[in-house]
Order: sequence, then C-alpha cells, then structure tokens
Amino acid sequence: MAAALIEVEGVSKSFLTIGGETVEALRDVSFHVEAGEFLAIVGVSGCGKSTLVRIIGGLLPASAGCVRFRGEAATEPREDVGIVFQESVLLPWRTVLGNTMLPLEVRRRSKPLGDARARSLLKMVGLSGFENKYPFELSGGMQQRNAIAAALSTDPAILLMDEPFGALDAITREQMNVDFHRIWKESGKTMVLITHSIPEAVFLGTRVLIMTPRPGRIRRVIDAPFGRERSLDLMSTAEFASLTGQVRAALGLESWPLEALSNSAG
Amino acid sequence: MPRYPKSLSQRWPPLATLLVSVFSFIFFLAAWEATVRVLNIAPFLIPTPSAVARALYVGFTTNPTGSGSYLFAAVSTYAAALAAFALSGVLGVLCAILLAHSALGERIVMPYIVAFQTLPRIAIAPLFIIWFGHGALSKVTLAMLVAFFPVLVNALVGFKSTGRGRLELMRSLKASWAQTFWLVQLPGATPYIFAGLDIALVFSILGVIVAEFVGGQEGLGVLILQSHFAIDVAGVFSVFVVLVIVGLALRGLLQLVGRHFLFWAEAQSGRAL
Repeated sequence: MAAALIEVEGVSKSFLTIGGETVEALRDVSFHVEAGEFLAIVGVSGCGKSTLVRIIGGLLPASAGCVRFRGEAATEPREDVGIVFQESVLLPWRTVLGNTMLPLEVRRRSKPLGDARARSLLKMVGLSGFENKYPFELSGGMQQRNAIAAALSTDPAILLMDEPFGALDAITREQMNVDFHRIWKESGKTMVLITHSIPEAVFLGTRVLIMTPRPGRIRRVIDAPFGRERSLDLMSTAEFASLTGQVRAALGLESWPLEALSNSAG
Repeated sequence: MPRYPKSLSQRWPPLATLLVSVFSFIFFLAAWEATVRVLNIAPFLIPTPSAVARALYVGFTTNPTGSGSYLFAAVSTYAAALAAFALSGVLGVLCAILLAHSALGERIVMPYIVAFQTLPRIAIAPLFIIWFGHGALSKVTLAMLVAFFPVLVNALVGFKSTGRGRLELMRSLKASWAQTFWLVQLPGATPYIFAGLDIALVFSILGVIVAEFVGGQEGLGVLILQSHFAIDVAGVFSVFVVLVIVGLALRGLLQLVGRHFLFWAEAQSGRAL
C-alpha cells in the first residue's frame, strides 16, 4: 500500500513550564492525511491543536512519535508545506503584493513570474485592487486572505492552517468559509485546518478529527460526506445538523434541555 | 517617536494654526523687549531681543570667513556633531546587531554598558582633551561616546522585539539568517533605531559643545565662552539662537527621513508594533 501524503504516528509532546512542571500537550496522536483531502481538526482551546500543527509543520520537535510526508520522516519545515498562522503574520512595511511575494523572495524565485502568480492568487482570495495597499489599511478578514495568498504563493502541495479565521466576526467568518471552500476546490491542494468552530469543521472538512484536551488526544474521526460542491445552504440541512451534533457529542458537550437553563437562571 | 498634540490642528485650519504660532511668538518677543526696557534691566543680566538680533547680525557679517565669525564657528561645531552622529548611528546599530545575536556577548558586555551609562559621560571630557588634543578629534570622540548609547540601547530593544510569529513565519519558509535579518528584523527595528537617532542627534551636538567648553579652539561653544568672558550676554543669547534654529532644522530633517521609513509604524501606532 502506498504511503499516505502525511502520516502522523504516535506523536506526543510535553513541555516544561517555567515552574518546572511537565505539561503533556499531546499524547499518542496518530492519523493519516490523503492527498487532496480537507482534514479539519476540531477541539476546545488548549487541547494541543496549535502544538500539533507546529509539529506537522516542522517548527517544533515531537517528544515521541514521528511525522512522515510520502513515507519520508520530516523534522524541519518543508518547501511543499505552506502554513497560515492564527494571527495573520503580515509585515506592516510591505504592501499586500509584497507580503504575498515574501515566500517567493525568500526562495529566490524569479520576480516577474512571482509577481504574476501573486496577482492571480490575490484575485483568487478576493483581494484584487488591493495589491498596493498596506496591511493596516485592510480589515481582519482581508489580512487573513492576504496571509492565505502568501502561503499559497510557493504552490505548496499542503496547506496547514492554525485557526486562520479565529479572530474574525461570525459573519465574516462564514463568508471566509465559503471562499475558502472554493479555494480548496480550485487549487486541488491538501488542507489541514485547525479550528474550534464545529460548523466550520463540518462545512469545510471532508473528514473531521475531534481532539480532547489535557492531554490532547484524538477522540474520534468523522467523515463529512457532502462532496466537493458545498454552499452555505448546506449548513441549514438536517444532515449537517446531525453531523455537527455527532461532533458536539464526541467533544463531550452536553445538549442541555431548555427547561434546565431557565430553571438555573431563575 | 515623539507625538505632538493633535487637538489644535484637528479643530483649526492649518493657516490659522500657523498664524497663531507666529503672532504669539511676535507678542512674546515684544513683551520681552518692553519688560527689559521698562524695568531698565541691565543688559549684562538679560539682553533685549533687539540686542540679540544685533549681535547675531554682527556675528555673521563681520569678516564672515574669519575664524571669529559665527559661520566659521557653526561649520566647525556642526561638522564635528554630524560626524559624531553618523559614527554613533552606524556603530550603535552594528553593536546592537552583534549583541542581539549573541546571548554570550550580551551577557559579557551588558554590565559594562550599564555601568558606563551611569557615569555622566561629560565628566570624561577633560580626559579626552588630554588624549586627543584640542582639535576636532576630541570633539568627535566625546560627542560620539555620548550619542552612541541611546542608539545602541534602542536598536538592541528593536532587534530583540521581533515578534515570535514573524520569526516562526521566516522559519517555516526556511529563510536564512541574513534573509530573516534583512526582511524582518531590520525593518521591524527601524522605529526603535530612529527613536535612538533622535536622541543621538541632540546628544552629539551637546557633546561637541561640551568638548568646546572644556578645551576647544573653535566652534559655537568657544564663542559662548568668549562672549561670556566679555560679559556680552546678548552675544551668548545670539549663539543660543543659532543652536536652536540649526538644531530644529536638523531634527526636522531627521524626522522627514524617518517618516519615509516609518509610515507603517505611525499608521498602526496604538496597536502593538
């Protein structure tokens, strides 16, 4: 059997706090990511999701276990992996276009080609016309679009995203979800998305991996079999509701009856 | 970066703001002149603005290329100050780069820097006259020593405050040390470096004047001393006028250059850098 695109095998991670205590962030996390799929990893804050994405991205060494790309062990950042961070990391002295081209500049790619590619990517993320603006002239959502365009500029096979929409308001976030679904469809890339939004995970993911905290471990993996054509209407369907319910249950969240809430409030 | 109160300029049109400044200055001078004349204050205590203006005129027009003229003295002072400013800027930033990238170096050097900072550096001036003589060399070295530390300390803070996210981004792109430095650390530190240069400019002029007081043979500091010995207070004041006007012009120039580099920092001031 051919190796999966990404294999995460028994990854554990412990940190030493300043107080000298050992904190177990991840325990024995194993999963595969197949080429072209959209894996959404969902969990509450502090369940080690960001640590996991840093280990996959080669920014942080695992305490135990390993990460393999196409069967080959990886311990440092790779050229075929683009990372989008929680806070959009844009350099404020560079224009939108300049920020999009930063990864290309670091890899010393040809400037004219990079310029053309960056412009087409900005069009794809809906930022055409903003090429010469500066990050401080953009809204939070637009900044994150810019960061996504930058991560895509080197044409990585895999995009790792650490809560890219976490800082956005709910309405902007839904719009970003729709747009990002389209970007995944059009680019054909393999996506790994970390999120704490259940609807976001189910809407975007072809598979949803549910993590529980302290120590972070995988509780369950659920398929989201809605195909590659998804629109916001999907969120109003019964199938969608039933799947988000399953995720919620797997996360261990209770569905409280309304009477219980009004009783405790009274 | 220094901040200017915005309230007045926000409420008033620019021309009105300018007129208010000009007229209040004229009123201030007139009130000064009138007070000194009416109270009959001795000219060797407080001179009238008109006497200062006269001293200024005489200083610049009498034998303008001779060694006693204001022009000659100003060139001597500001040439030394600008040389010291440039040297302290370059050396300060270079040392900050070295210290920012070497924890051991910082551990070894920093105690001396802190100790040296507590020493009023002007107290070393007489020593520098012994070591480097009465000429331009002692002026430049003393001024450089005074101006160097604000640049070093500010730049060091600037280099060390590079955001973790930015460093992680560069690491994820497998950027080299030099790329991380040129693309992220140096531009990110420019607001701090300019804040240091702003102080260094004032300090380098201060250092040169002090060196001239202690043992200089030419320059504005020497002119002040000469006027002082002649009990020519108007003369002393007239040199102050030169110092203020040139000082303002140089700072204005530096801020103009700074604004060109720092538009982004001003635009997002209020947010974390």
